[in-house]
Amino acid sequence: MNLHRRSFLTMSASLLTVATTAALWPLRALAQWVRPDAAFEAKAMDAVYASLGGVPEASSEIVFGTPEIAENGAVVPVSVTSKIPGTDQIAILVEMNPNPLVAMFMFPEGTEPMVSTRVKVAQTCKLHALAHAQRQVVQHLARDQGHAGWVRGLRKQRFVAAGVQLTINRSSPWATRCASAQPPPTASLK
Amino acid sequence: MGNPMRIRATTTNGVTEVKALMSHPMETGLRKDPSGAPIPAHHIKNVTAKHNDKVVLAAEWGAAVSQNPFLQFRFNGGAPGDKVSIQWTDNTGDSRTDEVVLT
Repeated sequence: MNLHRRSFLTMSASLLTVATTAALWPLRALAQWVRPDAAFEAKAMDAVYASLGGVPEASSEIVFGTPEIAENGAVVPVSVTSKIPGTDQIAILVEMNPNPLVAMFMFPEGTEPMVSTRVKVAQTCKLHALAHAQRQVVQHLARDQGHAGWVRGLRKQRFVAAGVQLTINRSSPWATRCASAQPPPTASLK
Repeated sequence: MGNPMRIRATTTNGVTEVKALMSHPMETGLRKDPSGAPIPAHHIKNVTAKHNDKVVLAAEWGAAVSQNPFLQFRFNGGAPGDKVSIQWTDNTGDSRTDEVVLT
C-alpha cells in the first residue's frame, strides 16, 4: 500500500463519517425536510439533542438578543443570529419548558441566519440556541498515478450551541401549570 | 382559516426585512379551563415564507411559541413590487396565507 492509497482510504473513511452525521441531522435541503416530531416531543435537552443527531459543540458564534429579565414568561422576545458561514438552521430551546425545543428555522441560500420571535418560558432557566452549518469544502484528493488529481466537494458540517440565562419575573398561567410538573427552578441555577 | 396576519416588508440596500404578526391562540394543550377540563392543543406547526415563488424561510414550531406569534427575518434581494407571502399550518390542519407587496 503506498502513501497515496493510504491517504485516499483515510479520506474515504472521514467522508463516510461526515455522511453518517448528515444522515442523522434531518435537513439537507428544504425539499427533503421532515419535521423532527420526536425532537419537539422530547422532554429533556439530552433527548432533543439525541433526536437531532448528537450533542452540539459549544460556540460563541451565536449571538442572542434576549432580555436578562423578562417581565412576562408568556411573551419573551428572543432573537438569535449565527455568525457561522453557511448556517442553514437555527433552533431555539428553553431548558425548563415541558418540551424544550421551541422552534426550528431553516435558512435557504440568500437568507440571513438571523431570526427574531417571541417564546413562552415556563420559569427562570437557560435559553439555548443551536445552529447547524454546512459548507461545501473543495478537497483535493490524492494525485495518484493515472489520476489527473481528483477534486471533490466535501460537505463540512458544524453543529453548535450556545446558552443564555433568562430570569422570569411573572409566570404566565401557562407557565405556572407547566412549572408544577418540573423540578424546582433552583435545579437549573448551577 | 384564522384571522389575517400583519406583514411588513421593507427593502434597504438590497436586503429585505420582513416582520410578521400572526393571529393564533397557540394553545399548548397543557392548560385547563376554569372547569378543569384540559384545553386541547392548537398551535402553528409549520411556517413558510416566500419571496415571489422562492422559499426564503421555513420554520417548524412547537407549542412554546407565544400567542399571536411574531416573526422577523432578513433575506438578500427583493425589489419594490415583489411579493412576500407567509403561510402557516397548524396542528388541526388549518392554514392561512397572506402576502404583501414590497415597498
